[in-house]
Amino acid sequence: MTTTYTKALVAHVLRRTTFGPLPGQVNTWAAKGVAATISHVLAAPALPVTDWATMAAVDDGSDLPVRWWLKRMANPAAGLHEKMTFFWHGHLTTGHDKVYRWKCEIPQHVLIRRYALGNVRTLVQKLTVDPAMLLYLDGSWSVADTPNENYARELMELFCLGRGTAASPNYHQADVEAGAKALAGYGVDWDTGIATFYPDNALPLDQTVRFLGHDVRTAAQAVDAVLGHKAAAPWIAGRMWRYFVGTEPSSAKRAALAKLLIANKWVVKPVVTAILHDPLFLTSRMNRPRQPIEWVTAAMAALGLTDAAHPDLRMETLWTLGQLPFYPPNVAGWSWGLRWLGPGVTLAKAAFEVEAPALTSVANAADPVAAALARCSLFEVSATTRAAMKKVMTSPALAGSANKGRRAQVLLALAVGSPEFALA
Amino acid sequence: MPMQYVNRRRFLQLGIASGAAGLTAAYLPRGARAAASPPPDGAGSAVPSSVGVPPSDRCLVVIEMDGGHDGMSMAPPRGATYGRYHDLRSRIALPEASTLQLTPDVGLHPALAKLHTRYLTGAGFGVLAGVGIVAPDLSHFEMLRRWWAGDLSSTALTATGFLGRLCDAVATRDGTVDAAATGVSLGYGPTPALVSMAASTLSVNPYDSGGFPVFWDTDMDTVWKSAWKTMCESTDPKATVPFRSARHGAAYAMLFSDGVMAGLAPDSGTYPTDGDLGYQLSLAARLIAANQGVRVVHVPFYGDFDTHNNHVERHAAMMTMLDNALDAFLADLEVRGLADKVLVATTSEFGRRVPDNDSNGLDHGAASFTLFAGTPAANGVFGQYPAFATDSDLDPDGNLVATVGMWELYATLASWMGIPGADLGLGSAVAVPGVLAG
Repeated sequence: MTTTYTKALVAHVLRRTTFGPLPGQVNTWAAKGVAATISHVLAAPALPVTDWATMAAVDDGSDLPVRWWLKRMANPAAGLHEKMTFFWHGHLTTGHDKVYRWKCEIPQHVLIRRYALGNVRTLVQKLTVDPAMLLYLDGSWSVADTPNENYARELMELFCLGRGTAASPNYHQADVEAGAKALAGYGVDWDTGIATFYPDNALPLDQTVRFLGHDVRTAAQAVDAVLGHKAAAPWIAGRMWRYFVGTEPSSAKRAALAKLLIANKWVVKPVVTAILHDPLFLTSRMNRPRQPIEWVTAAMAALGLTDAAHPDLRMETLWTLGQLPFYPPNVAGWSWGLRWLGPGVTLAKAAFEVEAPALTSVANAADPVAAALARCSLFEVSATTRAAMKKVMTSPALAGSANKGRRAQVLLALAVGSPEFALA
Repeated sequence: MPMQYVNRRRFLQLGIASGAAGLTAAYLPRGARAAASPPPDGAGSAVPSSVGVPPSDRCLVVIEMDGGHDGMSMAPPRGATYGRYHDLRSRIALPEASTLQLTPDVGLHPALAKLHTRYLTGAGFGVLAGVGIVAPDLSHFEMLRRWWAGDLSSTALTATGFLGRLCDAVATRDGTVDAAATGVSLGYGPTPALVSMAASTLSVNPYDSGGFPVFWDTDMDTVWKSAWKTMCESTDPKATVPFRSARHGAAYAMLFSDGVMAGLAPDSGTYPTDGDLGYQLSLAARLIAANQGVRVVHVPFYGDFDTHNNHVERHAAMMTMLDNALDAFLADLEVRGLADKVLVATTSEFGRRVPDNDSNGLDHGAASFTLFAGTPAANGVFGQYPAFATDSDLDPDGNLVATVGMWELYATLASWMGIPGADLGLGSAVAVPGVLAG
């Protein structure tokens, strides 16, 4: 006998570690327990992307790769690996509106999938000289004499270190300039999408620059210097904590996770495992907005809306909500925080909610309110939301058994539109 | 006030008749920039009625021309510098005789005939030349980010947008932070430009008019909306901040729908229907007319400004669209008695390369031009036309060097709303002299 509380915890685990829960998943996993659910998502195999070459070959004006990725997020077999793939996309960002070369971005996406739970040091090394990244942050055709500073800055500021404090900055402009010189020398061929190293454009063999306290010459040495900085492991571990727990870690927690990351030679899975087993993970329920991709994926499944029947609904809703994969708003990724709960976002969500169908499992249920909420995997529901849904059941305009389908539509629209469903 | 507007208009027409040459005085020759602009005879000596509009009644409409708009094609050189302009871009240069004269040295794109008439009649139309960022970047993405945030070097990574901060300052000063929306973007999703901290800002699809989405079945719709209202009424003071924010967002969405959209006056039916801009500006006029707290309207011009090839035809199509839609908007404001309250300005993340390329197009450039329109705008060409007489006048990439900074432009917009630029993170930048009437 699983309790409602267990279901609430399982729903929380699945909200944070997948793009669900999808209908039925909570019942299945609640029967096995919260610990088993966490073990399951951690162990879930990565979804195959064997058809990636097809996506790399599509026209640059096509949105097929976006749909291709969204389909994986909605796959019931998706586990933590899929969620971490999206995490890295928002953290080590590139965007199609600037790169505009699927032949570069899709191989990069496959690279991120390969290391999503693996070695972040290797991932950053490879991304630094990856064609899509070189194009996105202007490393392509950067020359050591007059280098482009874009990647050097973001590598430190956003990807690996953070700015630090005014009293104790993690780096200075001189580091940006020096790092840019060491990172220079690569160029991406616009037609082939292949990155090549041009020694004439890079620092010569007999020259180094002073970067973050190290003498470096090559891109690989520069990345090593960045990850050797004392702020690197705490920064990256802290971002993962925030993604799963919804808050910034305490300084003690951040330090412990950083230590764990270094002890594991920059392999992130043990760190994520530790985060998911931290007592704060289970108690930090509904403390952050569901991001639009999390919301739309779960909502389409809850309402039983398929891509086959509604070919553009998923894309259009995500576009109006402002979160399409491969289209981050800028190099800082998607904003974190309460803006996803603003009125404009709420209106855009409501336009989706009125698509709610008359699901018979809700219409014919003995308690349609409970059935609609369960369909949306909501097991901790405020009195206000329950009262609103009960109004539907007592409304004279929709009274009688002839209206049970229409009541089910409104109930499902309300459940998906509820503050509870808006939170992760 | 309509009466004042009529008076001013009559006065301006007299002014033009008596001293049309005065209109050119606002165009400052190279080297004279930032000197106090002498008010043009006629146009400047009129006391514009907008001056009497209190800041708490003023509104701002910003048309954002994403893609990199070629200011030099919107306001091409005439006279002495025309030859050099033609030499640099012989394949795409506009014939001098085709451009509409603003000053002896500056013309207007031939497709902007309606706006040119507004200029000639002194109805409020100005061009600010050479707007840009001192150390620009050639990436759309990077420059859009700077323009949205009002961040010159893109290092601040500020959480808010410039227009969002302006909304915060205006709503806080005027005691309207509880308005359903102070800033509205008429696009297909939230814009970083309007991200705010205190005031409510939101985006409305220009085609669905921002009304709360409906169930086609009216019974269902009534029940749904009634239940929705119950759902966002918070009865639990212990609810967490995210929980309260979710209810708050929902309540404001409903408030905007019921309090603003439901009460909108009808469309005037006078806007062009080809392209989005007419629909967007029509809704902008109705939102301002509703007088329910909307003060800043952001209009993303979904245009075709990134003219790497085939520039002449593509750019002309955009200018035609702008001329028709903006003229209709200004006329609509006049009919609704709002003309004195609304300043219109355009922005673009950058201009385009001065020399043309082998595809009859223009690559990414640096400085662009801003167009001001509406009764609050002074007539004239302002700022300093960026120099292009020699190659060394251009930047190393062959682009116009900005003579007016983004922050000065933003300080000008802020000054219209009565907010000091320093309050919006614009440092010590001040409004460009002369751009605003009065």
